[in-house]
Amino acid sequence: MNRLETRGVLLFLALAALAPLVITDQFFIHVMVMVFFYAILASSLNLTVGFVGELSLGHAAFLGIGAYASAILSTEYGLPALACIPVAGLLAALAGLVIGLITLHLEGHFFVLITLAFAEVLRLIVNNWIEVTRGPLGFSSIPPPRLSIGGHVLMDFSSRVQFYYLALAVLAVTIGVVLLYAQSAFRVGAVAVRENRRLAKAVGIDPFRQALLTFVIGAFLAGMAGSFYAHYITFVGPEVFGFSFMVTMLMMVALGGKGTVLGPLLGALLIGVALEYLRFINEIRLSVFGILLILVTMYLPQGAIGLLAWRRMRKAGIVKVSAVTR
Amino acid sequence: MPALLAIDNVTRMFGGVVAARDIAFELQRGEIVSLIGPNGAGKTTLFNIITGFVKPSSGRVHFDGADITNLKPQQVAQRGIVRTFQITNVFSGLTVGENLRAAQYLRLTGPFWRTMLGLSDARDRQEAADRDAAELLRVVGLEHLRDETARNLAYGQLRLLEIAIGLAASPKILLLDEPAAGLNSEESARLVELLRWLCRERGITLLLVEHDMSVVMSVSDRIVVMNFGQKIAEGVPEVVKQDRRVIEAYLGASLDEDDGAANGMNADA
Ligand SMILES: Nc1ncnc2c1ncn2[C@@H]1O[C@H](COP(=O)(O)OP(=O)(O)OP(=O)(O)O)[C@@H](O)[C@H]1O
Ligand SMILES: [Mg+2]
Repeated sequence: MNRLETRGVLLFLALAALAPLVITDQFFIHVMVMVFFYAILASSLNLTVGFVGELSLGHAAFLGIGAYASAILSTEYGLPALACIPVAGLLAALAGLVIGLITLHLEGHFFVLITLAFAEVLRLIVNNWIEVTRGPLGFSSIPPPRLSIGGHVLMDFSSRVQFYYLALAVLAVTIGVVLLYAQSAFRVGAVAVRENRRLAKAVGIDPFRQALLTFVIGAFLAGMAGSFYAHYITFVGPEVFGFSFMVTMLMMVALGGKGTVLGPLLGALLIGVALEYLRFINEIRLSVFGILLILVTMYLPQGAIGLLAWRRMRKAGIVKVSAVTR
Repeated sequence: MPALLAIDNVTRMFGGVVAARDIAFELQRGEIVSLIGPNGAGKTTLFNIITGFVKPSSGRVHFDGADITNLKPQQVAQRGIVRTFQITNVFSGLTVGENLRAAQYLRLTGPFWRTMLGLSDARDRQEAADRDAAELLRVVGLEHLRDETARNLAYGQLRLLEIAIGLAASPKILLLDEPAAGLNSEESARLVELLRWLCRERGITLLLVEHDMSVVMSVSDRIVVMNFGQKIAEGVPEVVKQDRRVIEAYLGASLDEDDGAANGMNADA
């Protein structure tokens, strides 16, 4: 973590907090809510993909579990939406623990395939376990959050701007967790495993525990994102487990810059805005992202943030770029 | 006093090859012991067995009285046995400073929340670790390269970095697999100084695999000699040097440090 990056993150949050005071356009507010939602997802995925260096294609599973947990808890059990968000996070973290215990012993391609399979199996279960999940119909009319103190309603989330600040709050929590992680010894361990697994073991780092810890934190954050999504969109169906979300968040991590804190935020902003303003892309989203992913991997392996750092260093007369942003 | 490390009749086969047969020897606290032998003698295999990277076909390894034979590599390291690799192994994408930081992982981490929140004890640990890393870099002479990415280092510097990485993990026993390979004579001399300093100042016990006889003869308290997977001799340098089987194993090359023995030992490489 360098200073530049911390400043970038704080600037992002500050601008986001002030933006609705200046821009009141409803569609813009909606776009930004989606950007924040994607930013939470991308940041959580980045923990495993960027810091540990394991490509998890099952991350949508935690988004889905969070979304469904929230849908069921609020519609069937009347749990308030604001309580649903942390609970959904914890349930997703529990799922992350179970899935992680099974998959993180696998390395490379096997891990990639099995995590993908997990998300797919969950999607099939949700599609077919009609008594609990209502199958393909999904849950609609999921109640909005409500914030009241002693019967006095502070926020009833009847306006978009209130969702905007809720999304921003969950994003701020996410960024806080990611920043703490990135500055802790856990990141050091994860990066060591990513760089040289054998040497990491030789100095006493347990690659499995390291990856599991990171994986579970990521699952928790993605679960909260899923819960927010359920209450914002008010509808949850099996597609939350789908590959489309997965590819979208992966693209955001890759384009923004993996293994950094600011990168996934930039990626979510660039791609989130593009997705909402260029609706026609949605139809061909997978093909466009596929091509973009190849291009980014080939020509911009450090992502947009790498480009920034590089330009800055070149100005200062240093052209080398360390693989890790400190 | 019981031995710090005891290798009890360890055997390891790879298919038909017996890489180690019935090997037994001990390390006492604070000793420098060298493990020598021609190429393919089984030295690296023994390192792998001690550090949990390879399981022996039979036999046990005891450390500080406890059986560590079936521990995983990271568990062995957590107990205080750290090794370097024959083929250079660093965290090449990280800077020199980050390499040491990674090796200090164990002492930088505590319970989940304390580590995540970077509470005061975590910060104290961090500061102590930073001071230690700075000292290690000074000792191996890499302090000016702290912010350099490891992959940009020269070969000799990498080998020194590897030793610093091993030390940063605060080992009780450090196993070095051919640390002098590829070093020039000036760097070798520095290495010898470093190894002595380690034992004297840090009380670290050293097991060294090394082909460079000038290094071996000048630092070792004892020498264990292997050939074709078997231990053929053990003793103080003066005695081992004159052992008939040892001389035969090296095809008659003299083991005197000042007449090019190192070259003779690598003749079959
Ligand atoms: N993983 C393995 N699979 C198969 N055979 C192996 C394996 N590791 C070692 N061997 C064999 O065991 C024998 C001993 O090898 P080892 O690497 O321990 O020798 P060494 O004494 O370290 O040699 P050198 O001085 O060349 O490093 C060799 O015949 C080697 O081919
Ligand atoms: Mg060897």
